[in-house]
Amino acid sequence: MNSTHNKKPEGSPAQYSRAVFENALDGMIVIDEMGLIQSFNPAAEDVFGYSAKEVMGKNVKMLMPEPFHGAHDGYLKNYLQTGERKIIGIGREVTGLRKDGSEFPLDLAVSEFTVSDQRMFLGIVRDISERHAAERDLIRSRENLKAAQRITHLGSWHWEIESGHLTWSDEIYRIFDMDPEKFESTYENFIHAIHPDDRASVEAAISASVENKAPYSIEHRVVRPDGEIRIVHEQGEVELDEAGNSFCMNGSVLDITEHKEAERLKNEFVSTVSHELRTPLTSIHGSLALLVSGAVGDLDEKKKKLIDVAYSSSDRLIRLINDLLDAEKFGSGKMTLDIRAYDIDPLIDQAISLNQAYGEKYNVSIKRTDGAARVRVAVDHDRFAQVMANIISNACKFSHEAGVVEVATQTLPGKVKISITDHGVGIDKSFHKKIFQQFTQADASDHRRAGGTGLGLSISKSIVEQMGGKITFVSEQGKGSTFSLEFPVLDTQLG
Amino acid sequence: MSEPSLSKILYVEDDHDIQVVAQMALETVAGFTVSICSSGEDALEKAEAFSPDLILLDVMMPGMDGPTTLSRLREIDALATVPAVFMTAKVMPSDVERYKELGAADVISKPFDPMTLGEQVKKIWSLSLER
Repeated sequence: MNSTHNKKPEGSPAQYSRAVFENALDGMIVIDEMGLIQSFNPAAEDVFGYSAKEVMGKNVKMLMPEPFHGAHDGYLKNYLQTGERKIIGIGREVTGLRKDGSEFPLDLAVSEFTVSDQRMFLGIVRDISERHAAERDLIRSRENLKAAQRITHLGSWHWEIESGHLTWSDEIYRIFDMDPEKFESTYENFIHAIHPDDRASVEAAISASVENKAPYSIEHRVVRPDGEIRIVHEQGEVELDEAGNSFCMNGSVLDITEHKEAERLKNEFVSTVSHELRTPLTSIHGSLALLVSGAVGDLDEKKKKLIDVAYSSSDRLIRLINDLLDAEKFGSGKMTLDIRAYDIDPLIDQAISLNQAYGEKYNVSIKRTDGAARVRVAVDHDRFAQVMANIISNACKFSHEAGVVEVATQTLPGKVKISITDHGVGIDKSFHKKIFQQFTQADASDHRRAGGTGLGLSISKSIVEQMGGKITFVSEQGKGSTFSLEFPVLDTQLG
Repeated sequence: MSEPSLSKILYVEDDHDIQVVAQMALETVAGFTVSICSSGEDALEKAEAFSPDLILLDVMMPGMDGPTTLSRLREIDALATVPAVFMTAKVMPSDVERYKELGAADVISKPFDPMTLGEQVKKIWSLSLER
């Protein structure tokens, strides 16, 4: 290795120089004092599209577009007279002219040398169109990103944890209504711009994220300098160094103020409408209930039939409104549960006895098929009853005439499973995926099965999950279905 | 002294149709004597003379609402401890707590079942006497 390295190149120095000239990756052009081309290497041929033969002895200005073309003679003359340099010995970015007439950006470095008292200039040229195009693309995509951020009110940031240096995109400055010239974007200043009541939770989320190396997502308020409050959804994630330590964070800030306001108006609307609907329904349903009961006198059979229809329809309307309100509460995160510890067995027995009458309507009996589970669970009493009623009533509805709905419990490690099984029509496979979605109902052309709101299972799922549980089902068409509720067990009941 | 019993109910409700249903439920079905007031002001005028065993109030009424009416009725010595029940179509768990803090024994949600309204009221009344 060393011996070859130290070996002098073979051949004469002139041959050696020629080889360098021929093989250089950059274009090399030698001109004389008059500006006439004396040498033109293959790389230069590639750059300009001329062969050496075509340019030899011609003025180098043929490789320049106007206005450089016209100015070159003067420039060279001026240099020779005054020594004032514009390019020579400096290098700069100029525009070149190819044989095909196209112009392109060119990096040019010119040096001067003397051969046999003859002043010569060597120009080294490199076509930088690709670099230019890449720069243009970069600028365009940066502008594009800025526009997208401005349009969607989504800002982005980068935070170097150690130094505390925080970089904000323009849109964050707009969301926070801060002047990029005056506002120093540091972590402390950012925290200071947050609503005082939200600061602790934001700081906790960020430090947990740094510590656990996990992303965070939080909604908080920002107080603008003029006092206006904006609501933002902020998300961030840490970037790890090679040793696996958090060293910086990247994140986004989305202004959701308008979205929140729209949501609030929608909630208010639903709540108001439901109240307005309930008031007349109270008198309709109440009047019909009094008639149906016979408390205000007997009705003949035809009248009773019509009143029954009106009564059950008004009942359905009430359930629909209640379900809509529940769905709305879960949708807006406003559902509050009153969770307490209960022995599970009485809850299940109550649910069965409360739904017995419903079962009788379908000539279906509801039975508990095993002994007591003897565990306690943390649930909302009324909501648990609502879920059980929903599932038991579905089981009755989809049972065959004189069928049996079985309720069983099973204790598993740390949890208890309640299963409600019917031996009815079962659920079509194509419907399995949609079963917990809102406003989905299996084809209910059969009168026996009509009358649901299409919200029951979706609400039940939300309730069960908010109580820390899980709802699942298995079903085979023609054989029946089993819906299971799983809840974490608090403790085992003694005795 | 005889056992206290529930017989007279002061019922404050602005909606005429609901008045009709509730009155029938409480009088015809449950057998109480009901005095109906169409507004909070009306209730303040009639209440003392009627001397109710229980006060039933709608929450949302134009003018004086249920909670305000109740607090004004409480200022009348004879009515200071009479059990009161709110009726509302807008029941939120947080509201129930608030109404109880205002001195209501319980809250009945609308739509109510006229066949069981009387029993419901009686149950609340008995529980409030135990306290």
